[in-house]
Amino acid sequence: MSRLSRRTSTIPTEDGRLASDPAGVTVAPLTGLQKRLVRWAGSPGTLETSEATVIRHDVAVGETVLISEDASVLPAPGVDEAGTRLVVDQSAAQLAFRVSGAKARALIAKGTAVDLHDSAFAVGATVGTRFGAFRVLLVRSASDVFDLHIDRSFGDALMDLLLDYGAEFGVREG
Amino acid sequence: MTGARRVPGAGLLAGAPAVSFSFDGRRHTGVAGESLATALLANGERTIARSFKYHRPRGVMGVGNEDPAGLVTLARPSGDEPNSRATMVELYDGLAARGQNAWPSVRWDMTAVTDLLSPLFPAGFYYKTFMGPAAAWPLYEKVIRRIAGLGAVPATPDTELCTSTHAHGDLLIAGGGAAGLQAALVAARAGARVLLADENPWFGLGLLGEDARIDGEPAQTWAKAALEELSGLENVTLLPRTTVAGRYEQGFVILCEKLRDGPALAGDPSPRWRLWKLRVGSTIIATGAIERPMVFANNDRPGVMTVGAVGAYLNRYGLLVGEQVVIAASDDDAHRVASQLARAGAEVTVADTRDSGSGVAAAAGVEVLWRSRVADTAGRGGVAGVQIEGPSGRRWISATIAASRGGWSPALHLYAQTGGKAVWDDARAMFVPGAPEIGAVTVGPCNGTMDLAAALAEATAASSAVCGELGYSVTSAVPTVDGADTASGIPGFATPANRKRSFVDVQNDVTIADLDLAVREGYRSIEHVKRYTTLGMGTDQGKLGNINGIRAIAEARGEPMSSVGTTRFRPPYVPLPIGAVAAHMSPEHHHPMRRTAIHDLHAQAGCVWLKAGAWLRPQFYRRGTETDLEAVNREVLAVRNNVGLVDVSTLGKIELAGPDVVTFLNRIYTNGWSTLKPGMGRYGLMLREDGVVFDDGVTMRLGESHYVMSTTSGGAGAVREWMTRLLETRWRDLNVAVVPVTEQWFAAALAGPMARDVLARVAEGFDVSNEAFPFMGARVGKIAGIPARVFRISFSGEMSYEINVPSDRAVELWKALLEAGKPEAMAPYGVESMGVLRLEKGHFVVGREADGRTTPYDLGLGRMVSSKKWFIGKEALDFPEMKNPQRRHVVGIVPVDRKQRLPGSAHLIHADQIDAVGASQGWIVSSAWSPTFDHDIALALLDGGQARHGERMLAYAPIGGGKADVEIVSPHFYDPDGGRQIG
Repeated sequence: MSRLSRRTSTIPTEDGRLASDPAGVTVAPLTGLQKRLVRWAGSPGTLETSEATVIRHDVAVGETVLISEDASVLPAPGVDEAGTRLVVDQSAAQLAFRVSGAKARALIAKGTAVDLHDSAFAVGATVGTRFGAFRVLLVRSASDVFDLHIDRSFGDALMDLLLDYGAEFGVREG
Repeated sequence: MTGARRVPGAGLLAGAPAVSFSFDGRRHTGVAGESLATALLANGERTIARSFKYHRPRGVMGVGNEDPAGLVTLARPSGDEPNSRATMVELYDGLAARGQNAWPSVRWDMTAVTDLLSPLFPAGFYYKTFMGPAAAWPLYEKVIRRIAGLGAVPATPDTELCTSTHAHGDLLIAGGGAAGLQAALVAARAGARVLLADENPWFGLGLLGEDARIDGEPAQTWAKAALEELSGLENVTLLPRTTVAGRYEQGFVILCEKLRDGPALAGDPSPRWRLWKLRVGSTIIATGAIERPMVFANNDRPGVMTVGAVGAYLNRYGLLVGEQVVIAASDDDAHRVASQLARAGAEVTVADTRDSGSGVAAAAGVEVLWRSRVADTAGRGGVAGVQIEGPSGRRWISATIAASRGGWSPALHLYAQTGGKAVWDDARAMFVPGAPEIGAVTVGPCNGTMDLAAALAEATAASSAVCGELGYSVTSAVPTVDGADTASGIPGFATPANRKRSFVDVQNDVTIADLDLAVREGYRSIEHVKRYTTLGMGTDQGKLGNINGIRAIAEARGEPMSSVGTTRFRPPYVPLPIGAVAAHMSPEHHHPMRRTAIHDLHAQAGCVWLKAGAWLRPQFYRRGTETDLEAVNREVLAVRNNVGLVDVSTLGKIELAGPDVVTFLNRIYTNGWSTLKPGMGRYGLMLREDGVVFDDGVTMRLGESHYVMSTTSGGAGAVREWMTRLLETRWRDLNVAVVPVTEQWFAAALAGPMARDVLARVAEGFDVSNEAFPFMGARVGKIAGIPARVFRISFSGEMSYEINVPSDRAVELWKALLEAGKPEAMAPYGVESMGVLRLEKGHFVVGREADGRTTPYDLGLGRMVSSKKWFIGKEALDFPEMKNPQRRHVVGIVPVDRKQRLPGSAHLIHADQIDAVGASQGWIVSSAWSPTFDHDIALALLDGGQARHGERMLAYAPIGGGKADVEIVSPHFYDPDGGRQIG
């Protein structure tokens, strides 16, 4: 049985259901995302993206990650005709976790040295950062919602850490 | 007895509930939330500890972190906490504390015999006494170690919960007294992100008992209103019970917050400590000044305290510490404290070194002796009498408390921790901060500004300046002050007569005589004297004693204070619990393990786990009651004779694309890539610039300019970084895109003579026949309906297909393959079996035979080194030494008597050189039992090995003593021509 489903909530609920607690924090896997990594061979060209449905994170010069729930707005994997742009499907390469609730920011602040204040990390911002011992992509999806994207092989270990950080806030698994 | 008693209705905790606690097994009652020191004093526990060296009785001297020796061990369900400061522990119901460093107890300590033997234990005694006979030193050491020390290390792990967090702000204010509160108000009202920290549970404690008025209202009322305003602002973080422990460069500050002292209730996940890793634009240091006691004979007895502490116990905790109190000082504020004690019912005598001063004490009925000072104390187990020296000579008076104030020492630690120099100010008799440090301002008493009005003005100016720099506009004005005491009187440093019993460091038993001795013996520098005498090296770091010590050294050297200077200040300001620093970093969180996409399936199949670098991999799968060896043998034979399935998803996979990929591959691999066709792959060898093998793997050509490279599991990150660095620095003219895809693709290999049969059942979109899909081919299609890339490569030496699918379909693939392999009873095999299979083939492994020193020639792969092109490492390989026939080469090893087991970690020597130094001519690197050959085999590195096949040597392991006669053979034991993988 997956470690993710073996955990029990630290605060019991009245009818046994895991309910989101506005005074606390919930950690839940985020599924159904399509990801592409676009890498230019040589000088980077322009990359048009549909902003409405795409999270765009520029990793480095010439390297961009695109995330969307809708595969049709993302470039298809493969090498382009000119042979200078490689698009790699990374949809299975990473897992994502959504940390939400009144204590979400406090939980995330335990793991990363990035300044999470509204003035420094507004809704929609993305940053590649260290979280605990991990390298993650951190996205602020809403005021109280932070998403962490991490290499699949570290997924279990990251979940363990999130639940550990969140224990004092009565973290719930979603 | 001291006559200590509680004053009804006094203090900040009036009305708090009573709780019970125990000390050394004696049960007492106290008030919830008061310090343990208060509760001990209230219950007449005078001796609560013993000093480090002489085991002299120690009591409570101060009221906060400056207290030098009031250390106890707390017995808590999560584990004992030795060396807990009684002044900082907040009382809770059921608290159990006990004394330390004494036998049988702190009250009656037999080891206090060391006090009688004190002439044997002067400063630096371990360089002089207990020197001979040399053979007796282990005994001396054993006894001295048992006697010396403070708390005992707990025997069980600490299970208390701790946490830590990062934080950011514009301004940190260290210290929540008047100056700190004012600085916070100014910045908070201007809209800055402010953090205000104080080590105490309450802010504004320095204003308790003050008669001053701020902005027309009593000081405490002003403080309360300030706090209320600050706690209502969302840009302010208030941190009581939080010590600012260390200030580092570039605005990085460590704070340690205590969330509770009591044990956690069952199921309560609340942490006890929170460590803050804070980054701020500026820090305003408003940490105040620490009171400096006077030095006189027997000034270490329980009952000797500081004036401020005595006042604080009354005003903060409502406790009168004794019925008969002597106050020795040289300022008016001390007279005010005296009058407060008298009004609470104590009999007070003031000995003031000045000619005259405030009349407020006398007005309250206190006996005031001018031009007088304390000379000595007497009493068993605590002060019973105090000797006063005045104009008319000396006399003893009856007293249980001897409180002194010799001056003030600004707490400039946070200023000095980044290298700021403390400067001696003769006029004020204190060390004050020197030139300013970047990003930090000192205000108030820690800046030498003792006057309340001036301190508030400094705080306002500093905070306004910081806000101005950050672009916040300030609206606050400097508050007006009236009725504050004016600082007055220069406290003299006394020259005590009985220097052997005049203590400067009360925790470590350092006296004036010790400091005299150190200087006499030639230790002049303050840093040397500190280490030689242990002055200021205790848990209190000399907060009360260091300046007195510097004064004694200056006197002994006949030089001014300014030429002695202070020792270097280093963080942390107070001892930090290691649990707070470690916080969440358990071994699992500190070194997280990586899991493959089918981790759970391996567990369900009964695997034994192996930590392979950062990965958890199945070592082998145990069936029933199989031994380890039986399991591995079964798996190996299944691959050799039938078919097996192995999870190889940990191997690094990197996609490359672009017009210059072939040029790039030719430069980084020793062999050539120009002739590789789409749909085929090639094994490649990658070297470092010194010609040593760095990594290896197979690179497949998927399309016109699209390749996928494989690396070793451990090398994936390093190879990717290496390639990226080359493309972004040395070869910026090459257009190559490099993308790691190790996690995107799950890979499983079918290996064995039946592999093709299994593959045929699940493959779609390509022909699996040998002609259509030859060895080293790459095909794209579907396996069990899942989009897949299939590479025909072999590590085991059998026919083998590596199937790659997106890792979110890994479980599906694995199950489908096992199902497809049922006719052959195909079973999974693990890393151990992979190791035996590759050993039988003589394949080297990066990290074993390629040990960071071996070249392609050493590995027997000279044919892979191209002579037609340049590649990284080529120049190094051309050095004559690289082809020296005596270099260590990889060879195969078999025992002469096939039944004999090869010793682990064995060196290869000539049999007659078994005891000779330098006899080793090489060593066994990897060895295993081979079920294919029914005997042990090994790969070894042997001097000149390639020319020594057939030779006999001795494999000898000096550690463990194993020996076996061995024969040197070709490393390719099994199918050396490779026919089995090609068919």
